[in-house]
Amino acid sequence: MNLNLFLNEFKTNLKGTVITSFVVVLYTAFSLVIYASMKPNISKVKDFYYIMPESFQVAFNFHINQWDNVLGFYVTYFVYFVPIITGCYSIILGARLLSKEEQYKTAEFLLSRPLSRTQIVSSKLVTFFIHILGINLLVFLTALFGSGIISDWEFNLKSLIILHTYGYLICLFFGILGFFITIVMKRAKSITGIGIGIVLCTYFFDVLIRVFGKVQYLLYLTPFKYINLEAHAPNYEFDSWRLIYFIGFSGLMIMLSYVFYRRKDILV
Amino acid sequence: MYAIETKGLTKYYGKDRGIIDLNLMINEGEIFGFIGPNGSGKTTTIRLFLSLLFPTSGSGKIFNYDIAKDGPKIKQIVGFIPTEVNYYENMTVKELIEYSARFYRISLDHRFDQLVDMLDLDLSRKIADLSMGNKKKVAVVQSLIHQPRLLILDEPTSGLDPLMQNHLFDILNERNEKGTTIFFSSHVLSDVEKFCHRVAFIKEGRIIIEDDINSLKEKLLSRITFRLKDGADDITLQTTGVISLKKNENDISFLYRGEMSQLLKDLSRLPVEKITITEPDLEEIFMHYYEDDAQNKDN
Repeated sequence: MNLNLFLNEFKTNLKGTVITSFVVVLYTAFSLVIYASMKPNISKVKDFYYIMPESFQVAFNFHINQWDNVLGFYVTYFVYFVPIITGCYSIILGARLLSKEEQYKTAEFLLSRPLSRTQIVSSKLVTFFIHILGINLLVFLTALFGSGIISDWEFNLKSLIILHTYGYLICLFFGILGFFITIVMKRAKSITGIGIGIVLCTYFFDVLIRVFGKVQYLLYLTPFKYINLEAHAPNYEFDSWRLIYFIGFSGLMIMLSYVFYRRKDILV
Repeated sequence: MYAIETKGLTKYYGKDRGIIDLNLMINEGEIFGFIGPNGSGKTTTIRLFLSLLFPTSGSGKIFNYDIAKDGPKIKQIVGFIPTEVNYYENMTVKELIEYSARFYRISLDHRFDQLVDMLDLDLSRKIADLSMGNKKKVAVVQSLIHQPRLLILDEPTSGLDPLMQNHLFDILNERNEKGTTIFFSSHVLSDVEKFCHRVAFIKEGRIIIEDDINSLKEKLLSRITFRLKDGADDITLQTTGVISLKKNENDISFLYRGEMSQLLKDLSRLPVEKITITEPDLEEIFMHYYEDDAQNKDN
C-alpha cells in the first residue's frame, strides 16, 4: 500500500461517504423514533399490520411477531438502510475508485509515479474498506444507542453486532464486485446505474425467493439470501457457511482484481 | 548501458496496430527526437515505456530496467510531460506538485522555486481553473522535481507561448548538460530540428528512418530557388530528383535529391538571374519522404 495515495483517496471520497452516512444514520434514527412512538400501543400496531396479506409481509421483510422487542422491529427495516442504501453506495464507491482515474484521464499521472499496480489496488481497497466500515460503524452506533435508550438497554447486543457484521459483509461484497467489474472492463467508466441495478435486482431476487419459494436457483445470484435476519431468534449466531460465502467471494474478487490489474492496458 | 533500448517492441490493440518491431537504442545524455504524424504510434511507444501498456511482443529496457516488469523502478528515474495534461481538478497547483513529490519521497527545495519563477506559475490556483498552457507548465515542473535521469516529453511545447517555449528549451538544455537524457516526441519538426541530436521517424507504427539530425538533412533534400531573367522562354527541367517544382512567373522553386553537380550543369544551360540553395526544414523532408513512399507503393 502507498500511504500518500491512500490519504488522497481517503480525502477525495470523504464527501460522498459523509453524505451517505448522514442519510443512513438519519433513516436509522427515524425508524427507531417511530418504534419508540409505537411501542406503548405495539399490539394495536401489530394487529393493523397483520391485516396485510402474508405474501406482502414476507416481501417487505415484516417480522411482525418480533415487534415486541426493539431488535425485532429494527431487523424489519435494517435491510433497507444497510444492505440496500449502503450497498448501493458501496458498489458505486468500489466502481469509482479505479474507473475515475481512467475516465478523467488522471491514470496517466498516477501510473507515471513510482508505484506498482499492486500498491495502487491495495491503497484503493484499503480506502474502500475504511469508508464502508465508517458508515457501518456509524449506523451500528446509532442502532446501539437508539435501541438502548428506547428499551432501557434490554436487547441482545451480540445479536445486533452479528446483524451489523452481515451488513458490513454485504457492503464489501457489492463494493468489491464493483471494483472488479471496472478492472475487467477494457475502458473503465462509471457504472453508477449498473451498480444500483445490481443491488436492487439481487434484492428483488431475494424477495422472489421468499414470496414464491420455487425460484430457489436465484439463491445463487443474490447475497441477500446469505444475510441471516433472524436476529431475534434465541440461537442467533454466525453461520460458518454464510461467512464462507461472503469472505470467499470477496476474497476471490480481490485476488482476481490484483491479477487482472497487474497486466491491464490503461487506455486513456 | 543505453538510456532506452527496445528490441522488436510490438503492441497491438486487439487487431489494431499500435507499433511494430520497434528497435531503438538511445544513449545516456542524448536528446532523441521521435517524429510522426497523429496515430503513427508515438504515444503508444511512450505508454509502453511508462508501463501504462504492456508489449504484445518484443522487449524494452530503460537504464537496463525491463519496461514490463520494473515499472516502479523506471518511474523513480523518469520524468514525463504528457501531450494532454489531465490532473486532479480539485487540487491547487501546489497541492498537486506536493502530492507528486511525496511519491518520490522528496521535499521541494530552491530548485523548485526557481522553476516556478522561471515559468511564472501561480501555485495557489486550482488545476480546474488553469488554461492548457498553464497546465503544461505544471507538467513541466512536476516532471523535473525529482531530478530524473530520463525525461520523456510528449509534445511538450503544445499550449505554450513562444516565450515559454524558449524557457522550456533553456531548462531542458540545462538539464541535458547535467546528463539528463531526453526523449522528445513531437510533430513540430522545427522544435526537433533545433533541439535534438538524433531523430527517428515513425510511420504506421514502424520506424522508417533513424539518423543523426544533420546527416539526415544533408542526405535527403535541398531546396533550390532561382529566378529567370526577364523575357526568358518557358523552360523545362529534365533533371531527375526534382520534387515539388513550383513556378511563379520568373521564380522557380523545388526540392532536390541527387548529385548537385548534375543539377548545376543542367541549370547552367538556363538564363538564370539568381540562384539560392538552402537546407530544407525537417517538415519538408518528412512530408516528401512520405510522399515518395506513397508513390512507390502506388507504382
